[in-house]
This record gives sequence, structure tokens and C-alpha cells, in this order.
Amino acid sequence: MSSVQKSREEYINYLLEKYGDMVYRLALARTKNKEDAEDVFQDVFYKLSKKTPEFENKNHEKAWLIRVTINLSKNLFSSSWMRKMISLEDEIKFEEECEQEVYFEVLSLPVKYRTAIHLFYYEGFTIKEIASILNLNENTVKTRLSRAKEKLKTKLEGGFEGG
Amino acid sequence: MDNINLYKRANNQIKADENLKMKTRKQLLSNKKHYNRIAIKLANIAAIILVVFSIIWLSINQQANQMQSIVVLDSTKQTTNLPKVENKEILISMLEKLSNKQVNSVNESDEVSEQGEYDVADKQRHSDTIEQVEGVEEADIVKTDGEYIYYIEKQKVWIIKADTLQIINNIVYEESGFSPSELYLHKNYLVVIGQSLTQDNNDTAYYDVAYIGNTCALVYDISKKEDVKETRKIEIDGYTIASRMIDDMVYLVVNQPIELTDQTKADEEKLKPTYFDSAISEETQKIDFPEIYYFPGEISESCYLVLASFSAEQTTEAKIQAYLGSGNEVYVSERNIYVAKLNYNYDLIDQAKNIMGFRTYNDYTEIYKFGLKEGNIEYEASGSVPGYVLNQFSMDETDGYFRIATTEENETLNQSTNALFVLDNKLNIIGKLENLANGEKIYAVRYMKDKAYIVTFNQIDPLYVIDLSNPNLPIVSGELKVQGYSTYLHFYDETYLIGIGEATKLQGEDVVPSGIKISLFDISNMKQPKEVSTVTIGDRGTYSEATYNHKVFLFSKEKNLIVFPITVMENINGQTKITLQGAILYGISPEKQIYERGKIVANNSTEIIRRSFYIGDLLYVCSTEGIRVIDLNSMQEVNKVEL
Repeated sequence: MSSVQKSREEYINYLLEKYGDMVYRLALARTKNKEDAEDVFQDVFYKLSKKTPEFENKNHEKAWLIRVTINLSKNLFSSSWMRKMISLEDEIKFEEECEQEVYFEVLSLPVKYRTAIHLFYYEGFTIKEIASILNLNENTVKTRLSRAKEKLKTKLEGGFEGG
Repeated sequence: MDNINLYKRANNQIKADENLKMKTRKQLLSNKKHYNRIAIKLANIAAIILVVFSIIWLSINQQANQMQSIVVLDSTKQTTNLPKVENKEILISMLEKLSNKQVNSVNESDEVSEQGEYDVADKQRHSDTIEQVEGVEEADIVKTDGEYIYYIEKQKVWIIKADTLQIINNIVYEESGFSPSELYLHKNYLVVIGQSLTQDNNDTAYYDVAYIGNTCALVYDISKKEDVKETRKIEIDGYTIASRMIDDMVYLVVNQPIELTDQTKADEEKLKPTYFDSAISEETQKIDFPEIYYFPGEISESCYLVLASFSAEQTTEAKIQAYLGSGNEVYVSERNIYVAKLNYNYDLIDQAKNIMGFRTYNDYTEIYKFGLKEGNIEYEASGSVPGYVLNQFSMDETDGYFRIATTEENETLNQSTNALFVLDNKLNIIGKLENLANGEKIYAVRYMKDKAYIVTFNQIDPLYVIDLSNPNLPIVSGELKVQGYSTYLHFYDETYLIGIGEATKLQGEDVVPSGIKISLFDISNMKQPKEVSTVTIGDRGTYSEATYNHKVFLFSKEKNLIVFPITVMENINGQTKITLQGAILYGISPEKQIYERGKIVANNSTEIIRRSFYIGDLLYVCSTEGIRVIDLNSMQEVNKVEL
């Protein structure tokens, strides 16, 4: 049964279960702040619930959510001094120290670079898909990815290359 | 282990926690708006430090704040000529002030409309998407002129002969990146509004991210159905929050976010509002800073509010204006556009006062009024009221007075209250009814002439009848408490009101939804509204788009017809099952009892009923798979077409 036929309640549950983590991870990577990410999270699903779900296929659904997450996290102007008050590093602990290091190095990149990295390497979108989600041309996406990797090379041993 | 894998592993450990999901789920199910709480949390910390400080400064600040707001208001009222942005530096400095201010951007673009009916000369009587306000048409995914059906489905616009269901033509957008979302029909012109993802020329690297899409309106000459011709194209960066059509004039209200980065700061072209109008040229147009207005008071979002008007019939230039600002909900009368923008007042002093137990509310709605004169849009006034508006039905203009119903919520104290304001033509508040249903929230509003009907809800549903005959003194004239609540109200006639919403029941201490409910209220006596009939469909989990999107609701008194799509869930032997997916038809008997006239069952679990309308005695039901026709006399399916 396709998702939209279920009751509203079930549909909401389905979306939250299916995409909740994805939305939250991207929101966190962009906002670098738990509260902001949570707000974006709620905004995204609120927006989704107001939209008649008529996605052509699952890829559209996912791309739409990514786009809205990006859009809503962009419009959210958190005060920078507040971010300093609550440091994400103190809030999020990873199992391994090396994971911690890589994660926060990626997050230290400018937002457009870390967004590209996240979508390409974590979400596994192709450059073409990212270009269409972000409404950019493919060369721009490529440039962002390579700049991001250049920056990471100086900070991380071994750079950011696939093994 | 390479760094990419470490990044993946790190991300795998990040999860949206169950509390957040639960909170979100609850909010979505209760249809409650989400508010950004960062500032409140921040203020909570700060307030503890500030408590002593604020006790001393409380009254002084309060007075100062009031003085300030009076000054701002005065300047609003005195001039209908808004200040202009003038140049890039001013724009940047205005936007940069924002970065120290926290703002939210729940931009809702879901506009609702209702079904109504009217006579088309020489053609069969049919239902049509209209009109919160008579004469102000609203867009929808399906339109008919009684002879042909125009329907958006599967990313195409289908043109179908109504009597035979023969597909005459379809407009395909596969390659263009355009996604059609709504239609207007004016004489031999079809206006298709949607989002386009095409990017014009230049290097867009300056923009960090894209918007959800650009608003795009395409006009077609449909005098030859088998050979439709695009007559004009208008594209505006940003997303539509509302559109309307009055006679041949189409109005679009668009939010166009401004991306402020080092690069855009360096290149002023990137900061200018952008649009395209095929009636002007094949070049993208920019609005210069001296032509961009801004509203009095504070700027709350890095966004342009763009208003556009163009003729569906003629290819004269579109009139496009940009204001620094944005909107959430839009109400359009025949003479004016009102844009409501939710704003926040996160003054630390206010927050401290809240924590100390003084009840102050922080949300307020700014209202911008634009006059419509022969297709021109002119800024007329702005004003503000406390609280937020639910949707376009919360607003109304009658006899030159603007009425607006709002809910104020205080998240810190977990309190809420509701109010109705009457504003004059300069948007000064001249009358108000406050403290309506404390602890509850507005779920539905409808106005008729000098009355307002407001549904609030917390445990049970009070339907309030508000007497607005004295604009300076709105008063509650009647009140009715019933189980459940309506989220949409539709007038049956002057004496009866239909409500659709959720049935509720008490489960322990919690009020839980228990199916979809339709009610008929007798409103002939404004002091004593009565619920004369009610039908509850299904159990908890039953779901109808009609509870939040009224475009799916079809009503005709003459045809004795209420139709809406529904998914019915029933609890059978302890198991919740879908017992109907499709739509239900109701009628209202002469004794004013609601009764079921029939059901439309989806062919399979993937078919969704989207809209219904009638032409003569035939009911057309549009779904994701096609259109079927039901004879309203025999209730038999007489024709169908697959799309």
C-alpha cells in the first residue's frame, strides 16, 4: 500500500520514521545547533503535512524533503552568540574520537560546502541530483565538492577521499 | 578507515530523538502551528539573570515600548507612500540587522477555497472552485466550463470533453522543469500556475541553496482545444503564497528569499528581485533598489514580498512590485489584498515578565493592505494585531471594515487565548473582542455579513457566534458546546451552517480523535446556535483532506450534495482496518438531517480521490488515476476515463 492511502496519522508516522533522521541530520549539519535543527525538523514536517502528498515517486519525496530542509534552515537566523553559548561539541558525543574529529571538521566548513559534502557522501546523491535539488548547475556542485575537499585536506590526515 | 566512512559512521549515530518525533507528531495531528522556541529557551536562561533587573525596569520599559509602538504606528498611518530601499548599501545594512535577530519562517502556502456554484449562460449549470469572496476566483487543480474539463494530474494538464470524457489534448512539461500546480480558466484562456526549477543563465554559485522553486505562470489560448497556444509566460523567483483572479486579472503573491552572502553583497544584481515576463522581453527583469519599498517597523525576514498582476486575456506588461518583507496568509476582497505576516516579539524583558508570571504574548500579525485599482496594486496601509491567524478564512472585509480573528499563545506559560479585531480602512483597530475561550485555540472561522462564527477547541468544541453589527463593539451573542470540533465551516444557507472536522472522545484524561465528524448547525437564532444533525465516520485514524484543504469539499444546496474524499479506519475486533478509501456523498433531508447518499470506492489502494464537481446531474470524480462520472439520480457510474 502506498503511503498516502494510509490515514493521516499513519502517514505522519510513516514520514517521521522514514525521513526523520535524514531531515534531522541535514538540519544539524547546516545549523550546527540542536535547537535550531529541532525547529527546522518541526517546520519541515509541518510544511509536509500541509502539502497534499502527491509525489511521483520516492525520490521526489526525498528530494522535496531535502530541499525544504535546506530552505527552512537557511531562513533561520540564529544569533551567533547563542551558538557560542551552547557548543555542539559538548552536546554530541560519538563512539569513536576519530568520528568526532571528522564530523566537526566537516561542520567547520562554510554551509554550502558542508551541505554538498553531506548530500554527496552521506545521502549518496549524484552530482546531477544535487544540482537539481539545489537548483544549481552541475559544475557549481562539482566546484563546491572539490573546494570542500581541498579545505578538508589541510585539516584531516588522509583528506576526504573514498577508500 | 577513511574519513568519508568516519563521517558516515558519525552521522549514523545522529538520530532525531523520539521525543522530538513525538512532539512533532502531536503537533501535526492537532494541527497546531509550530513555533520556534529558540528565543524562548534562550530567554529562559537569560531571564533568570534578568529577573531582578526586570522587576525594577519593568514598568519603565513597558511604557517606553508602548511609546515606541505608537510612534511607529503613527508613521504608518500618515503616509501611504512607503519608503524605498534606494540602494544596495541600505538593503544590506537592513538585512544584516536581522542576523542578530532570531526569526522563524513558517511560510504556509496552502490556500484554501470552497466550492460554489453559479450560472454560466448557455451552458449547463456546474460547480466551480470559488470563492471565499464572491467575484474573487481561487485557483485549483481542476476547472470546468461545463463543456470541457481541465485537470492537472501526472504533471500534465489534461483537456477532456465533459460529456464523452474524450481526452482532447494534454499539455506536457517533461523536459521543461515546470511542475503545474493550479489553474484558472478565463473565457478562452487557461492560466497554469506552478513551480519551475529552470535556472536562468548566470553562474548561480552565489546562491547557497535554491528555493523550493520559482513561481511560473503560463497562459494558453485554448480556443482550439486540440491546438492550445502559449500566449505568455511570467516567472518570479520565489514561491507563491497565494493567487487570485478577478475578472481577467490574475494576482500572485510571492515570497522571494534574499540570499545575503559575501558574493551577493559584492554583486548587487544578485540582490535585486528578479522576474521574467514574456510581454516585456526574453530577458530577465530586475527591480532596482529605488523601486523597492519597505514597510514601517522592523524587518523580520530576509525576503522580498513580490506582488504581481497580469491579464489572462491581454499580453500587456505584468505589473510587479517588490517590498522588503514576506507574508504567510492572504485574504483578497474585490478591492483589496491583505497580506498577513506572523511576527515575533522576543524581547528579553517580555520573556522575563512571562517567567515571572505576568502574562504577555509575543506573537503578532502584521497586516499589509494593497488596493486593487484596474489591475494596479497599490500599497494602502499596514497595521498589526496580537496573535496569529489560522488561515484566509480568519480574515474578512465587509463594508470597508477588516475583521481578523487570531489566537495568542504563550508557550512559556502554556496558555492561549483568542480574539477578534475590527480595523478601519487605515488598519487602525477600532473594535475588539478579547479573551475569547482562554486556554483554547481557534480551529475554524467563517464570516457572514455582520456575524462571525468561530470554532475554538481544547476539550470540547464551542461554536461562538460573534455579533459584529457594531464594529466598535464586537460581542459574543451565542455559544454552543458540542463534542469534537470543526476545522472548516461552510454556509448551507443563511440559517444553517455545515461544519466538518474531527470527532473526539475522552480517553482517561486525554481527548483523542475518534473519526471524522460532519455537523449541521442551526444558526437562525444568533443567541442560540443548535447542532441539529451530526454524522461521525469511522474511528480514530479516519482521515479526510477536507479537514485541512477545503478545495476538496464540494457542496451544493440545490443538488443536495456534500462530497469529500475520505479514508475510513474502523476498529474491528480490536484491529484497526481501512474500511473505505474513496469519497462519501451526503445529503441533507428536508428535516435537516444529514444522510449518506453514496460512496465512491477507490479502484485500488493507490488511487486517491482528489476533487469532485458536478455538471448538471452528473458528478465528476477526479482521482490520481482518472475521472469517473456518476449519475446523481441513479447513483450509478456512467462513464470513466483513465489518465
